[in-house]
Formats: sequence, C-alpha cells, structure tokens
Amino acid sequence: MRTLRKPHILGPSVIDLALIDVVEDPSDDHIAALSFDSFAGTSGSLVLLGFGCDSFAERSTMTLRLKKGVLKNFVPRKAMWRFEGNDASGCPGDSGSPLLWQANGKTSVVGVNSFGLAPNGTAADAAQGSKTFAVSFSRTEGGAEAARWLTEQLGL
Amino acid sequence: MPDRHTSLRFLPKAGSLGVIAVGLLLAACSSRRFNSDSQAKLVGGAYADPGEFPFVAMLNKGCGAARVAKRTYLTAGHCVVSSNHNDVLDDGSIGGALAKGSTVALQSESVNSTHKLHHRKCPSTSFVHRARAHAAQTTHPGAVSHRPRAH
Repeated sequence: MRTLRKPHILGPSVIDLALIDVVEDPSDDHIAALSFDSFAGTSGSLVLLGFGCDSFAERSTMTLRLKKGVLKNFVPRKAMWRFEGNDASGCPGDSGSPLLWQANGKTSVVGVNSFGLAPNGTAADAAQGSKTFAVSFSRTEGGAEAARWLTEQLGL
Repeated sequence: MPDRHTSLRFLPKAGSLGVIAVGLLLAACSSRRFNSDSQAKLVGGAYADPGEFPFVAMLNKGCGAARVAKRTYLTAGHCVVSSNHNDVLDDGSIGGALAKGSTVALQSESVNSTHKLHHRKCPSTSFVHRARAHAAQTTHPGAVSHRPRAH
C-alpha cells in the first residue's frame, strides 16, 4: 500500500498550489483579484468557499453547489493558514477552493484550501461531523514563497 | 506528548470523484465535539448567493478553483497531480494525470464547459517534490490510505 508521508506532506512549510492554464478562453470575464499583502491585523472578513460535502458523515458527496463560511480564529504559519475552533470548516471536495479576504468592499484571494484535521484522530470521529475541524490553506499572501511564485508565474 | 489526529485531504471520496487519504499527524487542536448539523453547509456555512463569487469554478467535479487570469485557474497542487507520477501520493487526485492536452471540466454559474489543459505548474517547493524526496522512507505507523479508483 502506498501511503502519504504526512509529516512531510502536511508540514508548515509545504506549498500545496497549482496553476492550470486552459487553451480556450472561458466565455465570461470574471477574474478573481489576488492580494499579496498580509491581511493580519487589518479589519475585514475571511471567507472559505467550496463545492464539497456539508458534513463528514456525507463526505463522499459533493453538493455541487457553492457554499461559503466565515473564519475567525486562525493560526498563522509560514506557508499555511490553519483555522480551528470556527463555526465553519472545510469538507472533502473543498480542496483547491479559494480563501477570500473581504475588506472595504473588495474581495481578493489570499489562500487555497488544502487539507483538514479531525478532532480526535480517527476516521469514526471524522464521520460524525464537527464544527471544530481544523482546515488549512496554502497562503498566497503576506510575502510568503507562494506569493513570489504566483507573482512570477502570472506576470504581476 | 501531543495528541494524534486524523488528517483528511479535502478531496471527495467515492466513485470517480477521487479518494480521501486518511493518515496520522502529530499536532495539537481542539478535541471538543458537536453533533453534526444536517442544515450546515461546507461544514457550518451557507449556500453562496447567485453571482456572489463568479470567479470560482468546480474542477472536474472533485475540487474547487479560482480563475486568476483570463485562461488561468488557481487550485491545490494535490488536485492536479497524478498518483501515477508519484509513488507516495495516493490520495486519489481528482482526475489522475492533468497533463497537457488532457480535459478540464470547469463549472461555475457562468461557465459550464470543458477545456483542454494547456499547462500545469506547481511551485518548486510544493508538497509533490517533498513527497518524492521522501518516497523511499517507511510508512508512518498506523497511517491509512485508500486506493484511488479509476477516473
């Protein structure tokens, strides 16, 4: 059985990001703003999005409808933002969805959903669902390595 | 001694949607429990309003992505990396190989289309490269992994 080496995959300095370019132009012109300034210490709201499940008991089911949740409590790390003890958290299928910073009427992407943690360390716990699951995002702001990479890749 | 916790990559589990990799991680976090709330979304959120986040797309019915340039979407590295390319990554990355020329299905309120993938880029320090570097090491005791199913 092949297995993820968790300490290396999920460690605080890991960057879990990808950019994909498509050949054709999508028909609309809705493009998200990326913010590379740190939002820490400023006033605004952090919003997580996702099309994934809405409870860990139903974690095999994508809802296929976009959902949103507000995050408040977080633990900053070098490459990741980790949120725990919030009313909302991530669920399988939310991977890759953006973490948004909303302030002064503007919305910008500041992170990308990467992974989550169950409270007590067993799959059975995870299946029960919980509002205290932690969720971690790769940072794209705050001068992190990822911010430099994105700036370079996108020609910003 | 720190508590042991289960980690869940936020990929869906069943059928062609991919598989959650479940393993152990040494970390400290809350151990409080709540009953699951069947009305909760996300976990604990709400449905987005129509048109509220038009730049967000669902990628191959397995991940989310944000359009950050005219033809470019930002997503998680583990959403686009094939387990075929990496012996230690067995998390059922959504569509297997997202190689140049492969198909990317993008669905949002205004876009519901299939595109050919032109290019895929990950940072040089991404988890993928780190995983490769440690591929020869032994599995973490007690870690559980589910084999991905064919997409």
